[in-house]
Amino acid sequence: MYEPLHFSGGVFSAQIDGGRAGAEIELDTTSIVARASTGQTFSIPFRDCNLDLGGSSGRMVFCRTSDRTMTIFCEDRPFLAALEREARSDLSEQITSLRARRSSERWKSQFFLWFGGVAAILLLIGSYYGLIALAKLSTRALPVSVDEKIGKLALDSIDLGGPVVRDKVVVKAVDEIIKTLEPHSELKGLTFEVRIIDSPEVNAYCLPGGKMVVCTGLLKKAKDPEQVAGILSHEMAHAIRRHGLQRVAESLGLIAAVELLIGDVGGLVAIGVELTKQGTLTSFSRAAETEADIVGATMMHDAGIDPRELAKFFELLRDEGNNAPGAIAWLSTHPQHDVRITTIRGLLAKFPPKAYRALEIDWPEVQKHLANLNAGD
Amino acid sequence: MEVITRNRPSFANVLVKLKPGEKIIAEADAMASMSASVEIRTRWNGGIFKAILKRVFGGESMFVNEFSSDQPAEVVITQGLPGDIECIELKGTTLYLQPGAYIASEPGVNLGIGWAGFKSFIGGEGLFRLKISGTGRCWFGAYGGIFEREVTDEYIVDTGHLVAYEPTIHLRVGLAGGIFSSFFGGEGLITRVRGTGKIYLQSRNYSGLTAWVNAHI
Repeated sequence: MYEPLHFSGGVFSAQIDGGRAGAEIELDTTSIVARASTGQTFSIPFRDCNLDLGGSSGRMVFCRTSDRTMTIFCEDRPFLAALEREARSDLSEQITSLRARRSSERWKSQFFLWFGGVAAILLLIGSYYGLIALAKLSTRALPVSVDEKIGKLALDSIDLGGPVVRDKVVVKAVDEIIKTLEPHSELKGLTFEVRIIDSPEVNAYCLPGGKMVVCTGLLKKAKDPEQVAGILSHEMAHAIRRHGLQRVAESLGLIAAVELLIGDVGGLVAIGVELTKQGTLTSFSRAAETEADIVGATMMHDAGIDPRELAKFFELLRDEGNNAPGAIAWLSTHPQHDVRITTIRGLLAKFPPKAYRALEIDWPEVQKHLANLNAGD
Repeated sequence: MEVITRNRPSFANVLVKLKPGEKIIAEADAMASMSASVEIRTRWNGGIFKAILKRVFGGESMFVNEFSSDQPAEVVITQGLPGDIECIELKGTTLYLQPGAYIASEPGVNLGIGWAGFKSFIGGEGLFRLKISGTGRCWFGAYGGIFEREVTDEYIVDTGHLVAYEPTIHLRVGLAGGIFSSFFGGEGLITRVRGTGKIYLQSRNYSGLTAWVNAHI
C-alpha cells in the first residue's frame, strides 16, 4: 500500500517567533524536513534524530536533534512506518523500541480502562445496595408515629371490600377482645383500632400502626370469642413487631432511601400507602408469620385467654378446607397451617400452668347480630 | 484588524476595531456593544451535527456570530465569567481548550471538538475538549487571571485550573500526595502535565466558586 511521504505536524525551534509553528513534514532519503507555516524550513538528519512518543493522544512522534534545540513532531498515523522505511538502519532500533513502548502503554491503558470500569460499576452497585441496607436499618430507629401515619393514610385510601359494620353488639364484642389483649402488647404507645367490614371473606389484616380490618366472614366462622382473640392477637403482633414497616423498607428505592437517611420519612410513607393499595403490605414472610403466631399466643397467655383457641381456629379452617372457599383469603397469606398448629402447641408446652378464663362476651348474641346485619348497621 | 484587550484581568473584554471588509467570529452572546454599521451573520458552529456536539460536550453555543462592516467600526466582545481573556496566534498549530473557554477568533481559525478521555474527565477537565487549529488569532477566557507555562518535562496542575494546552502535551491524573494528604490536605487529585509545549492556567477554579456559593445559599 502506498504511504504518502508528506505529513502535517509542527516544529519547536528558537528560530521561530513564538518558538513553535505548524509545518508540512516531508521525508527525503537522509532527513526529516519541516516546512513551517512561517516560511522557514528545518531539517534533522536521520542519524542525528532522537525519537520519542507522547502528546495528548500518546501517539505523537517527536523527532529531536541530539542537542534538543529543535523538535519536529507529527501525529499522522502512517508517519512512523514511513520513517522506518526511509531511515532504514539509522532509526530502526529506536522505532522498534517506540513500537514496543506504545504497545505496552496501550495494553496498560486498556487494562486500567477495563479495571477502572469494572471497579466503578462494582462501586456503584455496592453503593446502591449499601445505601438501601443502611436505610432499612435506620427504619428500626423510627418512632411508632411513622407506622401510625402509614396505617392511617393506607386505611383511608384502600377499598376495604365492604361497608363498615356499626352494629353496637358486634363492635363492642371486638373492642372488648382488643381491650383485653392491648395491655399485654410489648410495644407501648401503640393504639389499636379495628374496622369491621361486612364481607363474607374469612379475613383479617393489620396495617402498620395497629390499624386492623376484620371481615364478618371471619367472625361468623369463629366458634367462640377466644378464637377471634387468637386471630386478632396474631394480627396485632404484626403491628407490634413492625412487620409492615420492614416490608416497606424492603421496597425502598434509591431516592426514598436517601430521603430517609437525611431524615425525611415522606417517601417511606408514600411507599407504604402504595404497597397497601397493591395488597402487598398485608402479606408477610413465613418467618414474620411464625413470629406473629408466637407473639400473639404469648399475648393471649398473658391476657388469660387460652392460646389453644388460636390453634383450634387454624384446625377449623384446615378441616373445612375447600368447603370453605372464603377461608382461602386468609390462608393464602398464611401458609402451612399444620406447621403453625404444631408451633403453637409446642409453645404452649413451655408456658407455665395458668388458669385461663373465658371472655365475657355473649357470642351467640353476637352471631345473631352478625346474621341479621342490615346495610348501614 | 486592531484588537485591544481591556480591563484585565478581572473583567477583561476585547475591543475589536474592524477595517472595511474585515470579519471576526465570536461565540453567540459574546458581543457587549458594537458600532451601528456592523452587520451580524449568525451561522451554525461548524454545521448542525458539529454544533450540537459542541453544545452538548464542548459547553459552547450551537451558533456563532460573524461580525463585519463595510466601513471602520468596532465590536466589544466579552465573556460571562469574571476573569481574563487571552489572545493566541495560531501559525498552522493546534490548541486544545477546555469546554466553554472559546470566545472569538479570526476567520482562518477552525473550531472542532475532540475526545479528551477519561483521564481528563477524572481530572475535572471534561470528557471532551475544543480543538482550535489553523492560522490566525483566537481569544479564550477563564475564571480569574490567566497565566502560561512553557512545559519542558513535567508540571503539576490542580484539577480545574487547566484552560488550554498544546497537543504535544500529555495529561495524567494522579493523587497530589499520599492518600491521606491528598484527601485531608484538600488537594485531592492533580493533573500531571508532561511533554514539551505551552499550557494556559486560570488562577481560580469554578468548583471553588460553586462550593463557596453553595455554602452561602
